[in-house]
Amino acid sequence: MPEISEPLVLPVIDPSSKQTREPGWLVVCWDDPVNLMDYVTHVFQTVFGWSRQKAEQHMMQVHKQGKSVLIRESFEKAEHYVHQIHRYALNATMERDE
Amino acid sequence: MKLVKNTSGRFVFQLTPREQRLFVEVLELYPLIPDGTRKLTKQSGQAPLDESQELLDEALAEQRVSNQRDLAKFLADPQRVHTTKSYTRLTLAASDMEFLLQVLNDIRVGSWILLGSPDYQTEKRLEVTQKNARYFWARELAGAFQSLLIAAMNVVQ
Repeated sequence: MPEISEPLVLPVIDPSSKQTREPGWLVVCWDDPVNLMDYVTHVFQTVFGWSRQKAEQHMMQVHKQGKSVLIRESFEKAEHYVHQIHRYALNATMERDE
Repeated sequence: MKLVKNTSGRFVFQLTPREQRLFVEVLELYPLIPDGTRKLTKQSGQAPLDESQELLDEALAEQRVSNQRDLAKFLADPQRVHTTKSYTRLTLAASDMEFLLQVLNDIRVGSWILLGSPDYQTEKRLEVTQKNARYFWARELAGAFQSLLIAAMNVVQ
């Protein structure tokens, strides 16, 4: 007779707790209306390895809302991504997530 | 300019003599984004960020020098270009496509900055003058070539 194992219960983590909020730098892409939509999508796919669908969602957010928070990372990784995005002449910054 | 062949990550484009001349002329404008335009953060005045801004400025300056050198090589490389009387065949690797996209967007964004960074409303009021005409031309042409390269890359995706 097969044993019935106990269900695995994962601990409940408060999404606002410090544990889940580290690291705390946001990479933000800002709208320069001159950039082509397909180009912005391509850059997001290339820099972050995202699917086309996810890259397009962020591109549309930049286009319609003027900016999109792309990722939340450690200082070093956020800095790396901002450098990568600037190589493609898009306007990105890193902001501390207060 | 049209894609005629795409095999194993190599893209072959065919350009008319006029398209080839325009392609070279627009690439020769690189770089156009003025130094110091790009900011790492909007939260300036903090020590680690100020140091990182210097790093970003240095990295972008190095990239500009490196891209200028690579662009000069690219434009002079006879193995990429096969020209007849009626057309030119340009062969690009995937890495060349990424490089050209970066260069072309610098030209497109730089032209836009030099035109005063117009938004959709102020664009309508911009007048073409002898002084700024080349930036209108460069912005539109760089965008057209970018679109062609991206469309070619999307064929294989």
